[in-house]
Amino acid sequence: MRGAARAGVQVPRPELRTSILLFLGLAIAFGGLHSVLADADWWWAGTGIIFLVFGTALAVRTVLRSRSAGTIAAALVAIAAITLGFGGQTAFLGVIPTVDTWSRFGQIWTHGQESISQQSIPATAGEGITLILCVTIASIAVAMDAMALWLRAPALAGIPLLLVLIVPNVVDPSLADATFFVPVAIIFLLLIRPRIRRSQATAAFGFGAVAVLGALLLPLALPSVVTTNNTQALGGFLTNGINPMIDLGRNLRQSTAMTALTYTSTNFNGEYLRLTTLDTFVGTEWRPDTVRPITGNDIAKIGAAPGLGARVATAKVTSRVTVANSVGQWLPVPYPATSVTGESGDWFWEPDALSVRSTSADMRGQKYTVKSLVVAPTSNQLKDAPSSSGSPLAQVPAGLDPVVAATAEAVTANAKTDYARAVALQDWFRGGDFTYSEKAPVAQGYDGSGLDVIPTFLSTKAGYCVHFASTMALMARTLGIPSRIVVGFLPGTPSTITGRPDIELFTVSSHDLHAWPELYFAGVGWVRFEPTPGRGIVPNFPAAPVDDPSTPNVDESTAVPTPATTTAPPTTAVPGDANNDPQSTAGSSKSGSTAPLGLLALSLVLLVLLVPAATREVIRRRRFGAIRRGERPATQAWTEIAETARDLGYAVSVASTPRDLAEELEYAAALTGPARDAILLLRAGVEGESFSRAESGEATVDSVQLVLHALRARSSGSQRVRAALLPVTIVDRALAGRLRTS
Amino acid sequence: MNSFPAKFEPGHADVSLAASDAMPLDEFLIASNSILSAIETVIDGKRDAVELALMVLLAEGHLLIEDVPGVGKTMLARALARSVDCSVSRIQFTPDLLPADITGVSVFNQSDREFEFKPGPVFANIVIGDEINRASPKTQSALLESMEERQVTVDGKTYTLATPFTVVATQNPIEMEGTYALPEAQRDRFMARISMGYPDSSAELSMLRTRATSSPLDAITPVVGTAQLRAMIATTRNVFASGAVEQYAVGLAQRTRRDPDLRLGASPRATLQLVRASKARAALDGRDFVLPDDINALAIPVLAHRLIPAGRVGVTMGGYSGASIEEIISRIVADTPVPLGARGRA
Repeated sequence: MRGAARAGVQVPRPELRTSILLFLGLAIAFGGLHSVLADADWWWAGTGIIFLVFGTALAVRTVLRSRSAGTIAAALVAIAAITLGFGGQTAFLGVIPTVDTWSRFGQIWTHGQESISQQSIPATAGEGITLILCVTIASIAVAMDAMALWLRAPALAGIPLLLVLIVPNVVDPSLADATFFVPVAIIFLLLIRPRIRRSQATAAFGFGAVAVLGALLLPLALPSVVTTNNTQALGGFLTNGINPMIDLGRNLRQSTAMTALTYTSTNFNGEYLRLTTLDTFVGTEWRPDTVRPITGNDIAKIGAAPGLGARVATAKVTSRVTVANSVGQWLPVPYPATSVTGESGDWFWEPDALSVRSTSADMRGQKYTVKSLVVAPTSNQLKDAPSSSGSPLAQVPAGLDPVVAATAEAVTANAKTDYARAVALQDWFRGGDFTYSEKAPVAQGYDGSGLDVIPTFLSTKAGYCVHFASTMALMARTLGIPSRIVVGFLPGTPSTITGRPDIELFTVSSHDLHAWPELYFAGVGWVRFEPTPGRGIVPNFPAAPVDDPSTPNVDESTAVPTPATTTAPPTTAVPGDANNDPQSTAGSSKSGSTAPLGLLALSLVLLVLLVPAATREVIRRRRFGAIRRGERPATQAWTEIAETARDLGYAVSVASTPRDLAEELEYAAALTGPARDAILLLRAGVEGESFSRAESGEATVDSVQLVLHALRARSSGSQRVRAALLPVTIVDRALAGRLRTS
Repeated sequence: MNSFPAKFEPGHADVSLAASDAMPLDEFLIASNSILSAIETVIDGKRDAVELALMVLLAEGHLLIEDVPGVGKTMLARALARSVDCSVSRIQFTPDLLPADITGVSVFNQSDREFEFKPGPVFANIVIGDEINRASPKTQSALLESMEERQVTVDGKTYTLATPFTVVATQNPIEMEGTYALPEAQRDRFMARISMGYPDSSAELSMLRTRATSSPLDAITPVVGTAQLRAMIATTRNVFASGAVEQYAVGLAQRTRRDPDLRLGASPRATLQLVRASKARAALDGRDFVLPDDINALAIPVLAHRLIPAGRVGVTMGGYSGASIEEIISRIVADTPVPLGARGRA
């Protein structure tokens, strides 16, 4: 306040103090990542960069006496240091990045992202992760320096600090470490202390202390936002529990889809990738086959599909799968797979289901080539299939509500054959009576695949794939058709690979996790059905073939996907080339794993950044409203002009009289013509309203807008941005603790 | 020059101001402009000082003109008095001047065989006190008391002074020899203090020419009569000072009391006189309401002679910055927020 009086006794070089506090705060906050990262090398590297940034900024500021130069120099030094550390020989003179350096950074960065998504906590910070950390922390340091020492708004530096602090929290709330939070909070309070007037210091520190304490205690009181993701490792899903059904709904309900896997396939329709089958009942629950390692079931040569007759047309398909974020002891493969190569770990195939399983290895990060068949029976072959009602898999489990059998009877009353009944069931589910809902079963308490939920599902007619699959499978059994449920992935989203017209790339996300029933028809084997409305592809068998059944192949070439023509030779080319393509796409799609964190942080930053702007806009609108309603219109108008002028950086003080202000603005903003007339009119209005006997002065929103527009037009772009994002008047109000109009 | 009634009757000059009708603002402006231009024929290039003197007259205050000898202090006072057709007296203060020389004495009238009051020079509308700081404190206080009370008590009898009543005192800067500095309490009675300052070269040159032949003072004829002056004063009184302006004036005064650079802040009388003077300034500007700008413009003339810095000007010690009184006031004015539309809301 008393500039003249204080000038003589100003603390020498307050930048030094601020820089030291910024350095300490960021270094400690950065240290908070220790709960997600092993060792401490990454901390030394990052802290070195932080030190360089703040040190350079301080030194340059001291020498050049320019606030902006310090930040810019610090950014350049940070780039040089990172180039020196990671760019290797690609950089010019070791520190000046070249095009090669950038591509090298890109590679290391991609490795870092992969390593983040693959590692469990605490992760080992390899070169990739360290680079990501260094770049991030350097950007944050530069941003903090710019906010605190360039823009002179040290309070803003708290945002990046907070972002660094919440990283472990976002990964897993149980990793939060108050020992790092408290010192950072104290340093932040010290950082903003000079901006608080001495008379308010006690109150300010009181509030600060309460805020810190509150931040520590609040998480204990609030429900954890990410509890449902707790069991997942960093970025992964599909826990390796024995029964994947349990995780299925949860994964589907996750708001953010993560890339589960990508694959290229010679089948342009894509493949349903199966994880496991559930065909037996333990009590009232579907259960997968009991799992014991089956020695000799080498997955390089998988046995023939059960029940598949020689007359049924098949086509060979080769798929190259790259698993991204999924975790589990299955390999996603199409049905029926004939061989899997290129995987790592100890895998075997299950005899009936042909699922590929392991008791020790994990699907995460696996890359393998799987050859499989597309089975394309004609509907005649399916219709002619003899009944298999004697099979153990056609037995209705004990305790099934009779309503299921009754419903199945009713639905299939007109169907003559098993196949027709199955199609009738499928059509009934997809016919429009049923709705797909991932949330309704949870909300109404009938989630799961147990027998007990089926009657409820049949009456509410809302559920997701698990309900449709298990209900259709059970209804089929009541009709004497052997059935089982498969858990796996939908084919995913196709995209074309340029230069490879023979294969298609599919990206499968966590939302493509699916369950569907398979029904057994003698002579054809297990046939997939799709009862879930709105999901997947309904298997298309030529319903009324006009052809003679004796020449099925001719007819089926339309039903069988294009790869029917693709035979063995291309398969050798596929893995080699697909090696590169899926990798690069996988690299980019892996950002999906960090996306929720990044989005959260970004939206948090945006939200915090927009608060002052929104507050300012609300105040402005309230004033305009008051002007229109005639509530002290001239005073409101004038206050708005004065505050906008302050926000825009015009030399305007609260101690300016309307005359002083009008004169200053007329000169500084070179107001002429209508804008000048408007400001003089408004000045007369506010003088009349505030100081004369008149009750209210003349003011209109239009004239205020005219002046505001002229003021903005005369100010620089950076001033306008600052006025929009961080209005001085709002900062002052916040510091003064009053956020009300005028 | 003095024009006293031969026989003083108590209350003869006691014309109630309330009885005077306020003059419309346009007439007020014409009258005030004619006064100003009349004075300016004598005082060249001192528009600010002249306006301030007129403001003090209209605001019923007293004016202290402080400056080195020979810059026209007395000339300003006399010109102001001449341009208004009202009674004027002049007292030259000397160390041997006695209170009775100012207030008047009761003498025994042989023919009437009773004591008769012979009014002193203070019984005039405009009293010019030349070099007031040369008189002894006893005499100074006699004048200063009558300034505040607007009445004189001699031998147990109270005599009311003329209305309007304005003392225009001049003094040399207190550092000069043979002077008795006015105490703070007495300085506080003057509404404003101005200093003339040296004229610029062109004004000084033209002064040389005009003074060569005759005294320009003789050329001044009264342009405003007493009744008119009273009406102008009534107009000034009627100027509206809003709650916001009052709040602003009080805010300024309170800041002077809290300021670490000041040992003595503004008195409540200072606040009152600041607002009164601002009314006169507003009226001279053709407004019937006071603006904060009026307060700002008058802060230094009205407040400077009342405030005492915390230390010696130019010497930084303790919490005192070494700023001059004018710098301190300017700073306080620049720091005091101007309230807008203070009708119940801040």
